[in-house]
Amino acid sequence: MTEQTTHESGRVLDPQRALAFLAQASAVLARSLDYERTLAEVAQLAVPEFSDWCAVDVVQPDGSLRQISSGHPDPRLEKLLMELRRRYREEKGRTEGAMSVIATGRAELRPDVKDAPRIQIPREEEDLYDELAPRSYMIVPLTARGRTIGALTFLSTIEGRHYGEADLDFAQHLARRFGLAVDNARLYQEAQNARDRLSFMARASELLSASLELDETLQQVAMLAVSSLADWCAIELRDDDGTLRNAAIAHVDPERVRMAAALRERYPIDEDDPSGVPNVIRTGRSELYPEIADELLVRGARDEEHLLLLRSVGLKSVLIVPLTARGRTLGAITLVSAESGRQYGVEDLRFAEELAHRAAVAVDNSRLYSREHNAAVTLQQSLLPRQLPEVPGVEFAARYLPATSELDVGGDWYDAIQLSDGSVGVAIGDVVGHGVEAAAVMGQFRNALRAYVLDGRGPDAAVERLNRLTRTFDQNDMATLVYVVLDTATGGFRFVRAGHPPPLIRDIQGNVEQLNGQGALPVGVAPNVRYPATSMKLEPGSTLLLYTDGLVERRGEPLEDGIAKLERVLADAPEPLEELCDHVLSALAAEDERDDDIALLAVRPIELQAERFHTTLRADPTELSRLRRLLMRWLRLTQATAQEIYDITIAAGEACANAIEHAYGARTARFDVEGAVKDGFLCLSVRDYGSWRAPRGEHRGRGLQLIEALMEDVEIVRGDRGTEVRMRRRLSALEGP
Amino acid sequence: MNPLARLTLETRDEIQVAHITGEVDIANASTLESEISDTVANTAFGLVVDLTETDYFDSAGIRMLFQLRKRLTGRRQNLRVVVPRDSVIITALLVTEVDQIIPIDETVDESLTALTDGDRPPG
Repeated sequence: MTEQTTHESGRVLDPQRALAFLAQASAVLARSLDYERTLAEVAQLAVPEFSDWCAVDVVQPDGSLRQISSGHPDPRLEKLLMELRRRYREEKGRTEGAMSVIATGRAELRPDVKDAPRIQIPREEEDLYDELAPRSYMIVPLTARGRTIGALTFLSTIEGRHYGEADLDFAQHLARRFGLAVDNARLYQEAQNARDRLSFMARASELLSASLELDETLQQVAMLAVSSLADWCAIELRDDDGTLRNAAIAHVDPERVRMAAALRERYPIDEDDPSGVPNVIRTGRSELYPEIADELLVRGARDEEHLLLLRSVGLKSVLIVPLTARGRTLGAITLVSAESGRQYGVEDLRFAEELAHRAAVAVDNSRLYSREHNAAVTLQQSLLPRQLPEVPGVEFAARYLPATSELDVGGDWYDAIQLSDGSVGVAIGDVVGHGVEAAAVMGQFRNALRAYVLDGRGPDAAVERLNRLTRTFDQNDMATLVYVVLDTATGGFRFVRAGHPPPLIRDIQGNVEQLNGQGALPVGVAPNVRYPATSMKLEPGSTLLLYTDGLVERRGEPLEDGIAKLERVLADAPEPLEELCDHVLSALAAEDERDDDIALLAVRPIELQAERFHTTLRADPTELSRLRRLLMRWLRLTQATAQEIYDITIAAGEACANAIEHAYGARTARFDVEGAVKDGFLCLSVRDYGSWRAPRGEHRGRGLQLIEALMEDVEIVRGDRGTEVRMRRRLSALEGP
Repeated sequence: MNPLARLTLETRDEIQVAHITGEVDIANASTLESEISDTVANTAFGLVVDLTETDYFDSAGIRMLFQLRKRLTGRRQNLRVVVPRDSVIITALLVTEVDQIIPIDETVDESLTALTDGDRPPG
């Protein structure tokens, strides 16, 4: 079992006592699943019956050793023991001692310390060493579930108490039980930690998404950190000019926040410091100081007073993690354990890094969305159409999502232009390059194309002109684009595709098709390129989807795969155009990290006849404004006057609001609005599929009152499957003489 | 997404004036209501809700006006509403007899004059 010869000695525990001791030990260990307590109890259990001093070494997830001792009644001797162990580890760790036992899994028995390999004891410690008077020791592996998780050291300092083989057997038996208890406590704690962490992260995410007020958000994060992770927490940010700024500081004890803040203020962080916050921000790598030795403070202190302050904080363990988002380090979070005595390990580090990453994304977002910090997004958005034109017979929906990193923003555009012959031009494009410059160039492209098509040029001629114009630009500006001219009366369209991903068409059956047409080079690449147009037809109800590559391009994935995925997503997208866009984006656009802008433009010819109107809406208040626009557009086709249009729209809006407010709970529910012109009357019907409830409250009845006042005949039909409000109004223009 | 309505607030002669540009319906009425009532100082003489630039105003908007009036009356402050006679939204206000309870003026100046001339809150 061991390589040592058995020493001539009696057993320290007789078999009878040993059994009783084991039973007692098991009972003690079974009481607690608390990891720290279990470790402390393991260290204490063998003292004094079996040993005069005992140490438990447990391997931490990061490979370091966690040591807990039973403690020596004499603090000077305890200190000496720990110091000896440290030196022993350094000098002979590889061949002897706890480190070696853990590495090999083989126990070590030293019946007589005199025979054991010794380390140099400095003269000034010799007296103390003699006072300790070690006699014999043994070190056994702590095992659980087939793994060595640490080691147990038993030391005897009583004259004549020497360990032998029988004691070693017993110690190993003991170590197996202890090992299991320690491991169970560890597993339990891990599970507990995982739960705590999940709820902590959930809370952190909630905080971080609640506000875009940067410092306020960070202060909340710091407070959250001190609630469970640290005794104090400081957050430093690197401002745009490169200077470090303390953005938040928190302490478990609110009284001490002032002290912590004063320390930061009095001794601001030295930006050239080769370690600590500046280094973490420079390198983007975390720093973990499991134990803060006094000498570290001495080294770090700038003067006597600083040292005094640092010591008074009572630093135990420190963790500094970078605030990194989208490849840039924006600052650092410092977590300090002091009063709690908590020692940070690798797991805490990972956890803190995750928290920091989330916080960093929030910081970045808040910078991204604050105007003064993001010229490109502002410029870009100001150059995109504020509103798409109201074109009878065509529905539009558009989306623009800037890249999440400031540097990647800019260059995508979409446009819809009503042309004088009743057709409509739609364009989508992407300027090569990023940032403010690309956004500005995009503005030039968009306006130039507008000018050419408003001049009456067809798609081929317009894009050819655009190409020639681009060749006169200063730099090598280039853009990919698709330009489509749609005849709203027939659904016929002609389009040019210049180096751009193919648009997609979804027909009313849900079949999706790529529009490759006769592709050509991007504009700005070569002079005298021809941009041939391809003719196609778009049936009423079909959807034409134009998009930029940000939607379909994934690093390390062929573009075709991205387009194929978009085709599948489009096939399943809901019918209403706005919802269709949202569906496509939520399926394909990453929420927090986008390398590129995404622009999306959906176009759908609708059969719009003066005689009939029909639309299906979601039971959601935000749908009302869309309904009003659709309805007003149709009403304008009838011969209704402006006041009639408005009154009818109000009446319809009230009926719809009623459907939304009273007939439904779920916002996924839908309702239909139908209209027709019949016998000089304009007839409207709003039909829902929920259960009718009478209007409640003193003001709620006003909607119905409005409907009745504005329309001539109102009828509410309540059926098993829902409610229909039918109403009509005579149009003055259709009245007979 | 463009918001349905834009709210511009100004104080004139210790009277809060709230200009609503755009549309008011159930999607935004209660938000507007709290935004407006939060800005009316206790010391303000009254409130003018200016609907000159409002294109759509339905029962949700009317409800908003009554709620505002209720809160103001509690503080002995007056409410007046501005709607030009040729505005399309006037019909809805008249058929629901809003004007019987909340005075409607043609211009903001008319409202301001009426308020400073000190008509007392009803009741």
